[in-house]
Amino acid sequence: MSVIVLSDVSKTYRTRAGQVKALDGLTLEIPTGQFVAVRGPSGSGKTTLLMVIAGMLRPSAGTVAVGGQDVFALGQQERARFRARTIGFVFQMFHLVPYLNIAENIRLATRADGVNHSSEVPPLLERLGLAGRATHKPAELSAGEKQRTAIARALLNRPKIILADEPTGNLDPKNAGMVMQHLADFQQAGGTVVVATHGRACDDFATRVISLRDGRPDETK
Amino acid sequence: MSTIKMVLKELWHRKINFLLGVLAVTVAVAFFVAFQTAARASNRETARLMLSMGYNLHVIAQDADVGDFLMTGVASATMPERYLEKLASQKNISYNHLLAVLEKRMVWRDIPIIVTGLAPEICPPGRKKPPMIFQVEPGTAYVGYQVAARLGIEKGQMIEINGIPLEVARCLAESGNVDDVRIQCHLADAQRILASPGQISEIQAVDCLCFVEGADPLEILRTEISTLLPDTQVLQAKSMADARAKQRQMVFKTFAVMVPFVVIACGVWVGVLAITNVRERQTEIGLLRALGYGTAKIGGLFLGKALLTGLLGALAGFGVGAALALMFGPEIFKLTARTTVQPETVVLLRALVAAPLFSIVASFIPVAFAVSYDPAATLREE
Repeated sequence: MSVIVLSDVSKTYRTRAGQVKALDGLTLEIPTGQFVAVRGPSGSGKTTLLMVIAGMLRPSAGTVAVGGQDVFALGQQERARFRARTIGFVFQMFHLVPYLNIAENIRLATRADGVNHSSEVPPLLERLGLAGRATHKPAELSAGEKQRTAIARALLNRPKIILADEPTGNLDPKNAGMVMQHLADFQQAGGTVVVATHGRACDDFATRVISLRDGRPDETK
Repeated sequence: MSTIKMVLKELWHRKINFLLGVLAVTVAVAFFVAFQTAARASNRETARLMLSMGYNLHVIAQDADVGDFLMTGVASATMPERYLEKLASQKNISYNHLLAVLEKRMVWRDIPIIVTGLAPEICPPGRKKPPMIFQVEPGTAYVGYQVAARLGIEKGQMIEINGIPLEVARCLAESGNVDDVRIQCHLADAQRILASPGQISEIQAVDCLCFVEGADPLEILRTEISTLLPDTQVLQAKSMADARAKQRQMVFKTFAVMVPFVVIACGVWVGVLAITNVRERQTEIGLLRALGYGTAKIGGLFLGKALLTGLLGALAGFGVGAALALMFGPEIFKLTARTTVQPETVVLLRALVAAPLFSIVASFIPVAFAVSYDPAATLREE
């Protein structure tokens, strides 16, 4: 069964220089349990695709269904709650809140979900090798630790899907490998992973690779 | 995590931004408190200084010749003494410091004098104030400089006017005005000397400081008094009254110009800091949105900060403003500083309500932008 279904999705941005088509009539189905790498150069529409799947960016045309739910049929607040329950997001720049410690950053996800998952923070920290860092601020962590914190935050609500936008873009090969392994562990536990990348960092882990060029897909694996 | 806990953690993390915001509110509140205290003290100080210039309101009998009164300062007709009680019993009136006077020009021991009988000064209900003029005890007299000098009168001597004996309680220093030819005694004694029992020739008073610019004080006073005492005339020493009113209005005009200027400047300051804070936290806002946090939570983070900035600024500003007033007030307001230059609880309470509101209003536009940020736009730009 496909957990993500995009039907004829287009997204056009209006810029000062004119209109830019980030996604162009994209139709895509991603079954549960896949590890999908979305590859393409900068400006190919990878981030836009993830934002559209996450319900953060309304497409100019087409429909997006996640877990059987038409995402954009929901109101803004409902969509936010749906996203918090269903999707975990990992960003290239980690996006940790600088004034909260690591445990608090991870717990940020729990309130948005409406269900208290706080008790799951310590085992998550343990699993991701951050047990000794719970009370540290993001500024005191290495890039790899920051990204693992972001993964822990994405995993806290036990989502069905993790969307990761260039999650290894700022990491050395060793840490990049660790991050990919954690995402792969999630996929092997039954989750679905979609990673946007412009390199080949996740080739060893991806079960499917979609190349994007000018907002159109070109499957290569 | 609760909103307040997040606000406190963010404040601690960005201390400089927070302290600059508190400083802006502190300046506004301190200025307001110091200026309000100064305005009140200035008002009282002016009143005290003007009191030394004497009474500026005169109520005389309808039958008295106004021209003669203006030339001599002595009313030519009398009216019942009970008029004083009638005036003094009124509330919400525009005059104070009521003094009943009976006086008459006469020749005594071959020199012209004015016999002036003074009743103890009284104030209307709820407006008790220290008397403006000395009180003359019954059976005694204050003798003017010229009279004492020409007749060789000295303190403690007994004198007799129209058969009424009086002990000279004081011989007054030279004043250079009509007081030098007066013999001032108690009203009851003057009524016996002048054979006018129960009569007075004038009620002197001071108009209050409650007139607003544009109003005609004399018209208001005449209306008030003529309702009570239809057979009297009201005269006002206009230049003196105007000086009092203008001095008072000048303080409030200065207050009205300076305070909005400072408040707006500090409001812009707080607003700019809020904009900086929102810009700095753009990705945090985007992240919270992406995690599903709503407008109330995100708005609460910023407005909570504004609220705390306002509360701390109010406390600090009140402290600074009161300290400035206490430090410089006694130097500026020498007569009234002890009673008027004091921190007031009501000003603190006003500051504790107004300053957080001020801070929230100043931060409102940046916060409105913050809660409307599109998370996709913010996070995509990263």
